[in-house]
Amino acid sequence: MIQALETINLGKRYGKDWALRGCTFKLPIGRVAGLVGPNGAGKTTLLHLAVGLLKPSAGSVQVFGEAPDRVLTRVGFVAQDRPLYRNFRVKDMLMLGQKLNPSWDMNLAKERLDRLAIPLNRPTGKLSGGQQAQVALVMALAKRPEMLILDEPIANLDPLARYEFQQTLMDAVAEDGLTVLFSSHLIADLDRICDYLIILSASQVQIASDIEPLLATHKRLIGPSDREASLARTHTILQVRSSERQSTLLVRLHGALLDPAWEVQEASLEDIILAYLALPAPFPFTIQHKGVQEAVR
Amino acid sequence: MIWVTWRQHRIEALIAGVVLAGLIIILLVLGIEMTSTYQSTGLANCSEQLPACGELEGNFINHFSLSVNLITIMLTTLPLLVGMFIGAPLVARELEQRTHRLVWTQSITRMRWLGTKLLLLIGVTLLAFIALIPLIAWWSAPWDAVTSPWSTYEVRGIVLPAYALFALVLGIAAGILSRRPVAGIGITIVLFILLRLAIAFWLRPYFLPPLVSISSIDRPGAPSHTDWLIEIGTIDRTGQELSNNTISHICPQIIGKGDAQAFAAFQACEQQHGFHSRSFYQPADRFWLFQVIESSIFLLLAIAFLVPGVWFVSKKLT
Repeated sequence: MIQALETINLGKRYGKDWALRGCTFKLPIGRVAGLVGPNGAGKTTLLHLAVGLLKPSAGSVQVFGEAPDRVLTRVGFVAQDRPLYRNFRVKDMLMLGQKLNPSWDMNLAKERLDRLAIPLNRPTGKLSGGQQAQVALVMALAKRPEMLILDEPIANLDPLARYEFQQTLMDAVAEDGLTVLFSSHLIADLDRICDYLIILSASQVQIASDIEPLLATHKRLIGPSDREASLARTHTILQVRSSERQSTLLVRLHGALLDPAWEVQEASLEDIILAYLALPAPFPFTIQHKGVQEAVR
Repeated sequence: MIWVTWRQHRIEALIAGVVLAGLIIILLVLGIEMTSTYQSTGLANCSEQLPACGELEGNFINHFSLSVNLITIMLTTLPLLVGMFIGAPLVARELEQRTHRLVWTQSITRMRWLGTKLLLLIGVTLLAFIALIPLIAWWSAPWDAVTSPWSTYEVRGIVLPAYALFALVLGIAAGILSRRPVAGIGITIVLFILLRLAIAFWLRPYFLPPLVSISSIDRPGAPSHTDWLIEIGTIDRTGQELSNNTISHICPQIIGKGDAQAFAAFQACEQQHGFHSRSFYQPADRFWLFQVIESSIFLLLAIAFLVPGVWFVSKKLT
């Protein structure tokens, strides 16, 4: 089956250092995926590889089954800091989009900007940060892409601008059934928008999975500290917080939990992400997409 | 892409248009003045033998040397300005503002983006400079007739467009490789001036081996005032080049004195010893051959900078 994005053993090296290494995952068509990871984990490198700005040093990356630079027409990209030509008026930006994209939808662009009350005659450098982000997003949407790739699209925006940006994004997803891949530091926002999660840490993909099975298999357990060892035999303990006798664990369950000594609580997506980000690299395992196949290293 | 290029460079185009118009006016005004002086004073009908002509020529040169020098400086600076303000920021400003990530992820490849920009900017630059060729040639004609065609070599003919092409490409490549407009401008200034001067002073006199003229000591120099004198020296009977020290040792008459009498005695001494004046020169009929050679050198230099620049854009920039 053709994936929106598929990487196999993908790597990018700058000089001696690997910015990204051994990265293998699939992003199925139609998902809205959040890409998270600490600074310097290789998120931007991965996204640049996916839009053909970078060429891999190792492995392969395919978008809709083809090389990224062959499907530029089908992918809308908003780079980090949402670059625009600052001395262009908004309508010049739209004209640029029309001249450089065969599938450009000028009506869609104007209608969306109109709805957001962004003046077409103003130079983009004189717009607010939130408006610039909206223009950048509308530029990507008016290409009529099948996939949107956004690099930290809501970083440095005030809460209202962030909310409005997400609203535009969600409207587009609802209308056109886009696949979306976006990186973010704001975990709380991911929860609201995403149904798919990719965790990148220490230059490697640690998780690429639908969020639902992630929530189903990750639980917070509270119980006696002396039972940790036996629990670890069948399940994976990601995080431990212990007092003298009692431990609070974040556990990835492999099958049913049999020991009744443990009290089970739901873990939030934020808890799970933070637990993974806090793990020392390299992780002991990776979870492939849908969270069913597991590879032990 | 043509529209995008126009939209991004229309201010530069406007400034270039104003500069070009100003230049055309200046050249026309001074050209008319120089031509009419040349005609009305009778210089046009002069042959070298008439003593009155020498005076006319002297007056003409005194009167116009300042304006000719100023125009020469202006014209030879123009290519550098093109390299600095159009070339260097072309890619570097995109990199600085990160807009390359916007424009290279639209539906056209970055090579087509770069190719269109290069083609349009190089084309327009060359057209503008080539359009000036006839006007500059008309403006300098009287001056060239009075002095030497070589005196306006750098602003007349095809070398000026070649300098402009080179400066533009150098600026573009410097901007790409340094990734910053200001650094690109700095590199462009330094390299352009260095290469221009190196070629003008070290290579141009020897594009072809200079001709040699040996003349009597009291008539030094090349056979004609239209030749380009490259080097002049004194030789003895065997053809050996003599240093100034040796000459003043043999003929000390002029030492410490600057009057005409001492000079005449000095020359008489030199002639007595059989010394001759030897000149190396390039004749006037090599003017266009030299223009072609020098233009080719700058064309090759432009290619030498363009290739790594384009390669860098295609492989190294993200």
